This record gives sequence, C-alpha cells and structure tokens, in this order.
Amino acid sequence: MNKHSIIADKDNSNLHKLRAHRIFIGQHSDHNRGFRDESRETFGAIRDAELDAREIDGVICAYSLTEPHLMLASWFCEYAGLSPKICYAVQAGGATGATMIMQAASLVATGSCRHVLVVAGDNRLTGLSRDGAIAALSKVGHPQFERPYGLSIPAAYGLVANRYMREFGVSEDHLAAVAVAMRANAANHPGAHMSEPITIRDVTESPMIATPLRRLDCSLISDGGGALVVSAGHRDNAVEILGAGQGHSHEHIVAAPSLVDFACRQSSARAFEAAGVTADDIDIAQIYDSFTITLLVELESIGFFEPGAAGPAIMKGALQTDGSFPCNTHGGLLSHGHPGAAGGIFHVIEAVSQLRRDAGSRQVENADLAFVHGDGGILSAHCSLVLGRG
Amino acid sequence: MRGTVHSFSLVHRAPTKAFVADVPYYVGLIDMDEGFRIMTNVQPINERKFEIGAPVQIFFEKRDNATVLPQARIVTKTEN
Repeated sequence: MNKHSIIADKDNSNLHKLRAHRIFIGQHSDHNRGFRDESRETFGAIRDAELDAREIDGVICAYSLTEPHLMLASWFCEYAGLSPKICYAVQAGGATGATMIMQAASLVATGSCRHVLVVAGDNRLTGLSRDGAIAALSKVGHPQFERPYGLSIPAAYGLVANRYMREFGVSEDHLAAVAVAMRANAANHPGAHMSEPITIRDVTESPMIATPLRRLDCSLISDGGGALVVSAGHRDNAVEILGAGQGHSHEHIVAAPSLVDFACRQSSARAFEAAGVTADDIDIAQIYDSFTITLLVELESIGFFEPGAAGPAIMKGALQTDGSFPCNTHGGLLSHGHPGAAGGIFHVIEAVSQLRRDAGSRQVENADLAFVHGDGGILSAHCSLVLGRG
Repeated sequence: MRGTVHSFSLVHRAPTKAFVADVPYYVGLIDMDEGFRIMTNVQPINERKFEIGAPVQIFFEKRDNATVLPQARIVTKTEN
C-alpha cells in the first residue's frame, strides 16, 4: 500500500501526491427540499475534513432534475455562503459522483485548489414523484431514433439484459440474487431507504416493468444528498485517491458498439493502472447498480468475475459484508437509495466509511483497497476510482 | 428491407402518458442486412417465433400526418 496517494496525469510522466478527505455520511431524507440536504451534508463534510468553510477554494456540484438550473454550482455556493476560487457543475449521469472526485483530485494535484468540495443532491421522490422521475429520465433517449418507439430507461437496460443473458447463460434468478444481496446489505445501514428483507421469489414475482426486468430489478427513486472534500491537507484516518480513469463508448443504446462489452472495462483498467494494482488486489467494491443487470455486467466486465460467473457467486452470498467479494455494503442504488447524482456519491462515501473503519455492523475486515465505479446513460459513460487507506 | 433481432424488451410500464395505451409493446434492436442497427417496435406481440436472431421485415406505419415510423414484423426465412 502506498503511504501517499498518487494521481498520474494523462501522459503518466508527472506524478502528484495528494490526500482525499472524507467527509460525512450522506443520509437519505424524505422531508427536506431544495438545497437543505446538500447544505447539511456539505458542512458535515467540511467539519469532517477539519476545515473551516472559508478554506474551501473549489466547489464541484452535480446536476439536479428537481432543481434544474444553468448555474447550479453558483446557486449552491450562494445558498451555502461559499466563495470559492473555482466553481462549476458536472453532468455525467450516473458517472457524475466518481467523475467529480476525479476532477477534484486533478484540481488539487495541479495546485489549482487546496480543498475542493464535491456535492450532490436531488429530492427526486418528493420533488418529482415516481411517474415524474420516470418520464424525466426517459428524455435521455434519442429524440429521433429511440423515443418514438416508447423506449424507457428500464427497456434500454432490458435490451442489454436479454442479450447478455443469452450470451453468458445468466438467468432471471441470477439477476434477482443481485437485488436480494443489495437488500440484505441495506439492512445493515441505518440510513437505507429500503431495508425489509426480500427473497428471489419476491423479485421474480414483482410486477414486470420491461422484460426481463421487474420492479425489484430497478433502483429506487429517493431523496437525499451527500458531500465530500478532496484536500491537499492532512488529517488522521484520511482516505487516499490512488487512481482514477474513465471510458466512453456511446450515449444512446441504439449506438452502442456492443450490448455485452462496455467501456467500464477501459475505465477500470485505466484506474487500476494509475494505482498500480489489479482487480485481484481489491478488497471491497462500490459499483453503480441502477438495475440488477448493471451491477452484474460491470462485475464481470471489470474482471471481478468471469463472464457468467457472477450470478451463481452472488446466490452464494459473495457480495455481502462477510462474502468473498463485499460489494455495495450500504445496499446500493437498489436498496440504500437513488437520489440521482447523489446516489453515485453514496458509493464513494461508503467506500470511504469502510476504509476508515467507520462502517459499524457492516464493516468489512481488512478493507484496505476499495474500487468505486459510476456509469451514466445506458452503460455509456464510465468513471472508476481506486481508493486506499491513508 | 430485412434484418435480424439483436435484442428486445417487452415494455409493460410506459415511460410517458403517450405510450400508456400501447402497453405491452416490443422495443427491439434490429441488425439490418445492409449492416447498420436500428431501434423499432416489433409486431405483433403474440408472435411465437420472436427471439434473438429471428428474421424480420421492415414496414412503415403512419402515426400522424407528420410521422411515419419503421416497424418490424417477424418473418420465416423462406417468406418473401
């Protein structure tokens, strides 16, 4: 394990040392509106980093469906009373959380900023309603080549699932096992949106949304916010960003080069290379799980399991805290909650909690090296992070 | 115009009100014999031979005065 975190720049010739500080556990919330969630998480993150709000010199803010605005980062700083040197919003769908961390690390590594706040929040449940969120999300479909045919986001992932299942012998029970595992993990997190245990039968008998995906194969629509500080400063028990990478192959599923091979392969390879590790070295993973098929495809494409092998392993409890490959130990988007870009931030926060030994009853023993992955669109835009103990 | 089904999903939950009356309906990705891929609906939905790799024929359906959409129907390999 490197004592100091290292981020490599594009040509890999110039190495920078930096430390990433967490932060604050973002909580799911049913009752807060607007910026209140993000603001509360923000000041928790700043306190956790042992900083004063006036020391925050960079702010990167996610987009929001509930509060769409051309200058959301500026509006957020106005609300929170921050006056940073650098401030902007990032829009990369489900990859936004990891992408903001990668970008913050670059700002610190290049000396542009010393303490960068990364913040996201969206009250999709109370601000949009379930129908409203589903309709808003379907607008990412291509206006000419997809939306006229009634493509929903679950249907786009259904296209991936049917092809992937046929090529690699994945069954509906394998997909259901992903949802069951996420719910079991969420039961160990006090802030989870859904923690009532479910069975494979509950999943396979839940209402069909778009074949082969049923309601319990789909992530939640939640309220919530989360924030982290990426800092050049030092404090005890900080977490280090060891490597980061992205991969981009398409936006619309009609233009995807493959339905079984996605750019998470490239993004993770770049992050592993930057960190000087391989998939085999990873102790815990927090991986985007917008649908059961999303997590299954990414676990296999990134190399944590052979193609077709993740489903049977998950049925044996592989992803649980005491399993062979603990993953989404907070319950993921499927059960912990999915408040838009903040859902991706929750994956980062859970990795930081585990590395800092702050995860309570869900703490994984000897969790020294964590992998975090976000994907936006229909497995379109990918960002991977490798994090380690400071 | 012919092609084959690369993948499909039978949509039971419409994304917007405009499609509520149509459920369930198939959305498919079709690999055209000419070498490109399109998205269309595949009709009819009770087609028994419907599966990945099934051959389809493209026809055009008028939706309103301004919109004509390509649609696919399953054909047998010998069908003209």
